[in-house]
Amino acid sequence: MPNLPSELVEDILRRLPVKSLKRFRAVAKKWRSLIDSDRFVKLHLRHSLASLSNRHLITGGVGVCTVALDSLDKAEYVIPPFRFNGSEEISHSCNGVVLVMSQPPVLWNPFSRDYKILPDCPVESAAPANSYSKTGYEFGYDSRNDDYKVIRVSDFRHKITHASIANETKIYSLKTNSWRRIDPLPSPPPYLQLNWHVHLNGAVHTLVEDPENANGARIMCFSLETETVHPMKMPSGINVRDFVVSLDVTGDFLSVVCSNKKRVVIWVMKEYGVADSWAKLLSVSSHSYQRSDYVKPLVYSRRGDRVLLSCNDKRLVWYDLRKKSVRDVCVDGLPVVFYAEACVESLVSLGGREKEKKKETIRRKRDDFLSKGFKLVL
Amino acid sequence: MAAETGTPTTLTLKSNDDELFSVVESAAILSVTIRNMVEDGCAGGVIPLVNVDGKTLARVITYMNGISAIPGVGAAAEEEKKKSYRDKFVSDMDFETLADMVLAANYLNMSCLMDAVSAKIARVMEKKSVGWVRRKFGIENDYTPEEEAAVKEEHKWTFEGVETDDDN
Repeated sequence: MPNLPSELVEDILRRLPVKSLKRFRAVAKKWRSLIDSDRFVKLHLRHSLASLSNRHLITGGVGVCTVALDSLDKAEYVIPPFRFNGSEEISHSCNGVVLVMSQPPVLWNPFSRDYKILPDCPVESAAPANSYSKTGYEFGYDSRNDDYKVIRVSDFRHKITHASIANETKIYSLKTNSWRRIDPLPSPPPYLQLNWHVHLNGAVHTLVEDPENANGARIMCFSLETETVHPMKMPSGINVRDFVVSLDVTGDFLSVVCSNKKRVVIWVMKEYGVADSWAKLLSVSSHSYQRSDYVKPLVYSRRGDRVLLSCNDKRLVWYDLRKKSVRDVCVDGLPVVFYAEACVESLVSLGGREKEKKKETIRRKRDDFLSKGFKLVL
Repeated sequence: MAAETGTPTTLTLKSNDDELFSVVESAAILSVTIRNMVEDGCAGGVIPLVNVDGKTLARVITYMNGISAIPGVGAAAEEEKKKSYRDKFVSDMDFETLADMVLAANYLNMSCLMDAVSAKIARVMEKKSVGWVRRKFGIENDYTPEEEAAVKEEHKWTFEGVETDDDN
């Protein structure tokens, strides 16, 4: 039997799904070191992204499901290994990691089952008079520092007018496992989108009204690396009075979704940050398919000829870009209402395993003690 | 250099167990290793391939001839046909043959073939047990029984749905 050199073994292993790799840690110590190494985790992720493999949909709503994108046939229920009541909001995925908006929030890799409960972080600012506070979370990946970051915005609003009076913003870094206060995210220009959930290229984005154009809108980006805000141009000619306009991500492109009773139009920014690179991805009239109030773009097919869309959080369809036709996708076991996000399967570790090991030791010690106790009684 | 009549040049390849093979140059230079040797002036004589045995080299040559016979219609269609050919080429190989192939493709510097073989090995391995992997890759288990049990316990769920054989 030929013995393959390690670089060839690595070339083979980087193509495997997470479940197989986690199992093969038991093959030998060298394999465990390789599979656990930061270098291999990145190699595996890079391969998945470049070859468009190991892609899934992750859906929240009632419980959490994952659906393999290559087959799109069956929804697998995943039970989070931490306290989860079943309906907490789950963020988009960054390299296979999602933020579960529970109290406290949890960073979770649903494929490796690794997780990290965020440390407590009290709000420092005193609440202004006659106000109530609303907390929101944003999540993203700072590639320059290879760090997963969570932003918490505590917005203090007037009890009667609901106007925002003050805002405290804190940022959490997985690397340092700590929170720190930062300048508040701009509070608040007239927001068209209620949050900064759109994440791409190390920045989170939202949509605001354009102060210079009553019918227009502007994109605001907050960079997780520099912690600064800057605007970005929308595709030209979009009238926010004619359409409900929202920001999203299609595959790897920032997207603008415009929908009204008559049609849905989706634009994609082919080159991030380049205003001239906005291109119309699709324009579908409501006659050609059952009208949806809300269309969310997800991913491109492997060949790039189709786009997967989620309609009204109840229906998945493939839109063929060439034939301009719509085809329903039937996924076995998907709940009636689901909030879908695209997610790559990765080995990214959150350092939570240490806690699990400690818990296991405590549990075993307790069980040993209890069994001893019963023996004495008998 | 091609003769004036325009007949394609053939090369003679020699495996490490001294088998000789004739291949058209345009097919043979799919291997970057062979192409470099030709450019260095080896074309006249026999090209020795010290890291491939005759059995494997014969297969590689079948691949080279097969791939270069695919007509260049349009870039996308041609790529599709080549991908189909590669998938079929690796489809009925057993693990030992795949391992020989990946070593040969690596030595001969044939990246597309290597990619197809590595991908096939990964597909074959995916649902296999730990014991199967150790046997096929010739890896010695250096865990103590306690250590092995602890590692398996960390990811117990990954052993569900695995093709069982003698040791898991």
